[in-house]
Amino acid sequence: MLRRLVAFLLGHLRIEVTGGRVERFLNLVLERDLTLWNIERTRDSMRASIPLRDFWELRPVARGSRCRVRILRRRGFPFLASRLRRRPALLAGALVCLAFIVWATGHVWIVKVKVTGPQNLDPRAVAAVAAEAGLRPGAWKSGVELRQVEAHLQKRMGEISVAVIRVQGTRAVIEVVEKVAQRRDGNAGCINLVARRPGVIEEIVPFWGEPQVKKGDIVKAGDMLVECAFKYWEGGRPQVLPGTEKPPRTSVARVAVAQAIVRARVSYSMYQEIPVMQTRQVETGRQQQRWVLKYGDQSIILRGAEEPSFARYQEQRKAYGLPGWRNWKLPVELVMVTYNEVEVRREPITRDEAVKQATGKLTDQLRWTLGPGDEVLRPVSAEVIDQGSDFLGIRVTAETLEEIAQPREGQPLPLPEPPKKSATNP
Amino acid sequence: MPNKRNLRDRVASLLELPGDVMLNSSRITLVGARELWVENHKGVHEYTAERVVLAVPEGRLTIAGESLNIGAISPDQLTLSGSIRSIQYSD
Repeated sequence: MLRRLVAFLLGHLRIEVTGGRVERFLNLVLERDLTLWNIERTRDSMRASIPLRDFWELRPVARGSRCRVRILRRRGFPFLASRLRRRPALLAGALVCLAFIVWATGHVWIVKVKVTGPQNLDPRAVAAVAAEAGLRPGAWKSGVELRQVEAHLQKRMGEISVAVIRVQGTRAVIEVVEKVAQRRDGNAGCINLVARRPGVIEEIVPFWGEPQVKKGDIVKAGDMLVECAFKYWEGGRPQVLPGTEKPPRTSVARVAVAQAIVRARVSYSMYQEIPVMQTRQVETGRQQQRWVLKYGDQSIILRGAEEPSFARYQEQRKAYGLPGWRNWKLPVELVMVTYNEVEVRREPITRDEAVKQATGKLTDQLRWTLGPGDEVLRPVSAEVIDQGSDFLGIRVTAETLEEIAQPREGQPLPLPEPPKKSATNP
Repeated sequence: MPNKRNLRDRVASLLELPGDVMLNSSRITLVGARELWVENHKGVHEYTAERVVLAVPEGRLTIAGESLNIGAISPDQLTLSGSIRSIQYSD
């Protein structure tokens, strides 16, 4: 490797030796202490590589061995330099390119924040505090003292327990570990599950916590479904007469974040008044197009007028960009805008259309509110219950089976006393 | 001269010194059948792609094979590569 580097720096030639006696040529080369390498023999010639400085001493060698020497290739920095001297613009371009690479790789361009912990800390706040200490996108890497930035983060932000910064290439990753809040009053946090809408309980599967409802119970929004505390009877299971209610359990054994699947049948009912006369936009079929070339904030109209000549129109936009690299995109794109002329008509709608509009609204609402495991038990049905001169009153109903539990923080409960260790007699 | 040679042999044997240092002998290193290193050679007698004859202190060293190329040559060392079939010493 080193030999190749030296050969490149000093320049070397690939020569072809023909005629005469090549063995004599080689021995004369050895006598004069010249260097040859990569010697290949063919039937009537020999090829070899020789350093540029030794080439000038080959003349007596060739004469002594009656060989002819021809240069096949010139390699190395001296030849490259002479070629570059003839093309100064290329040299300047290469130097500018090199300088740009050195400049670009010497900066931090991306600052990423990773927060581990309860996630109460805003990563943007961490990035802002790091920027105070000099770590910001665009800062010179050599100018950022990572240990100082870490110390500054820990000093300024009391929520951080550990901050570590790693710089990989032009990307800095700030990893912070957030402090976990601890309750000092001896109480444990309590998260209950409550109903978020009224319904009839169909299924309850508790994972953590004490269920407060059973299948068939009717609940209102906000009713307790699963309590966070596991409770027991102080002094053991009470003896009561068969058929009578047991007293409630009061002593807390353990406090947990309640988790359960609670599914209930929920009814939806919506009354809507749909106007009989409705305005709608109808396309006339006339169309105009505009092509715009956008470069950053500037735009050049390639085809079409700046504004369409229609009084009312609908606009469709399609943008064609060039392929980018990772999250970087070329700031050039071609935007094709199509204007479709429309006219406004005021027309009466039929009863079926009004019903369809009313059911569509409830269906849309359900699509937004229902979760992935929820289902519609009874399809959306509509009934016209009122009719005015200019409206139709429609009641739309539906029934769903959906998850209704939502967490709600309850009052902190006193932690149970740790079990006392029994003393052992020696 | 034979006495001198004999004395050197005996001293080298007595002191367990390597022969190439004391006796001005050639030293040959063969790596598989692809590469051959010859130290302390005295020049090239014949060089073709199938046969290389080198002058060594012991006489002549003939290397036969195919596609024999001289990787590097200097006054005291020569590297030969190719498909080496035989190595033979002669006077």
